[in-house]
Amino acid sequence: MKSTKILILIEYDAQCKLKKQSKELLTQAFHLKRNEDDKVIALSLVDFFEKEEILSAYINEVSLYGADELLLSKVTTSDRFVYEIYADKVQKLILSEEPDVVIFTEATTAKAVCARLSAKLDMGALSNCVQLEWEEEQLIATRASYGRNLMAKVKSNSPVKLISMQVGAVDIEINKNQEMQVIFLEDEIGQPMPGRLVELISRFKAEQSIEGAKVIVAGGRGLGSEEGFELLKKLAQLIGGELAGTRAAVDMGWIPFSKQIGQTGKAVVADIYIGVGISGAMHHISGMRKSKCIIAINNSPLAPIFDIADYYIVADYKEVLPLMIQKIKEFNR
Amino acid sequence: MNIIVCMKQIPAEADIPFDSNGNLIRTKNSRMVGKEDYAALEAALRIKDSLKCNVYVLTLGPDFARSVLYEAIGKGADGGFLICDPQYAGSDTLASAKIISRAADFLPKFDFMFLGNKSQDSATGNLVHQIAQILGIPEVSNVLEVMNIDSLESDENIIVNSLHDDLLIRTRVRKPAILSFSKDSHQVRLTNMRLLSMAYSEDRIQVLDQEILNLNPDEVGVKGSKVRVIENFVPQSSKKGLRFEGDAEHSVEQMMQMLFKNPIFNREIQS
Repeated sequence: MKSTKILILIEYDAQCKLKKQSKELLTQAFHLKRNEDDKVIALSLVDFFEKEEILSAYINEVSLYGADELLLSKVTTSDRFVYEIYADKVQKLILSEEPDVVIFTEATTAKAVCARLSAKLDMGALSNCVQLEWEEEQLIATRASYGRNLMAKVKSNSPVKLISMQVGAVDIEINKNQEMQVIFLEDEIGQPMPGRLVELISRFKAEQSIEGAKVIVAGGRGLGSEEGFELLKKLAQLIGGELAGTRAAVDMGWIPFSKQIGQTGKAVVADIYIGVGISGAMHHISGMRKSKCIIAINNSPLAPIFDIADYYIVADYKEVLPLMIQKIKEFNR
Repeated sequence: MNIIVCMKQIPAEADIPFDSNGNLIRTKNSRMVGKEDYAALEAALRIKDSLKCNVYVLTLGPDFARSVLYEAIGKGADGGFLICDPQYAGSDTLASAKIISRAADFLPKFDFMFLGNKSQDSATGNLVHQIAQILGIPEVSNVLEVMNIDSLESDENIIVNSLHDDLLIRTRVRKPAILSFSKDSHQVRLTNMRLLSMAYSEDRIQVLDQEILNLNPDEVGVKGSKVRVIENFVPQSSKKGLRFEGDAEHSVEQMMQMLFKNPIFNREIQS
């Protein structure tokens, strides 16, 4: 068996800490290694290249997740939003390192780079993947398929497999690599396209985001109306949860798009997820299935969401929610 | 000024059959347009509202997808292009990007191409970047708002606010450029019945097929797609959830008793 090289693009947050999705990528890449010669190469474009302390803390953090090599390249803060610079950089590495697999997160820049590279190199891109596994020499990716209850196994015919992983797809593991090599790439970084200029306006407040929420109360088409969300809101407030919804609920205008869970919205990994009037289309399920405790309420006994629920009630939510609210109030007293 | 808006007809139902290649059979179901694409159309129409501008709609799909174009003309678009050829069926996103990029040669020379950020069926969000790469023009995804509509005609650039993960950023890019719009960025206007009936009576739709586009047949359709579906399957859940059924009061009572004992639930509602 020939050795396998896996290149991944990792990112950091506003505090220069490794992003959760990047830890997931590192863990996923580590698990794709099949023998000693296989190698995980992590690439990070950083805007704190000169800040020694921060840089060394970052390097330390990356080494916890099993990479064999960390390639660091300098980037200016505003260039972090310029897709073509990243695409150029990764393309150069694909040519020099000849990786077999290149994995990206679904963050805005990473997603853009993956798609741009696919067009640049004329190679297939496997998007929204939730699982990767080898079947002999074939890398098989699993992702949500369209429809109520279907997943699809897909593969790419291209020599380099370009893949983007959905948030929350992998359980993060520590696989410390004491010998991780750190390489500073000194070569010139690319330029933005002529005329492209980006500035940061603001950072959204954390409370506007459902992605990090520990408790989520979500509603779907089965609520029947916007008023249904009022009941959900009461429950959410009581247990300190964030309101969220399915695509159907968002399309009906019952809840804003920023609260949409699923393939075209956000992926969440909540401690408690309560789904009300949600049948469980795969596009929604793929965005919440990793939540730790899933409670579903639906009046259809065949709702697919029941397959992944820890607790479920087959009944009308209008009856169930007021009772739940009452019980929790009693319990809290 | 010309704006091309790409729109896609998607299935309006959840349970849709697949063909032997694992692709959706799109002929046997009711159809709709995703909110993302409507947002892109509305963004273009708002520019047309305030300055001299032609808006053309483009769709790639079977012949019946032309209804998307009629509807868009009914909302105020000036004309439509239907890219339609049996050879294009089953194209993955990259093959679709190649087809649309080639079609650009046969469209009015555009200042901007607008798309929905993600289609609701395949949901990859790749198309905007792939077309930008092929055409060699800049792109911005997740656009919320065009900031310089009033001076867009004289400006060399378009200035847009967009969402970049949890950041709001402002990007200035030179024309021609391609933008993909966030689903909640624009609420599409109602269809105007006079315009809609005009759309059907006047011939404002041009069909672009393989004879015109003359793409390499090995690069399009199922044949040209580098992403292959191996199988669609129903995932087996290893979970055996606790089911509560019957009288609601009794069910809730039982479930809450279990939940209050569950350490995760207990911890979260206490905190």
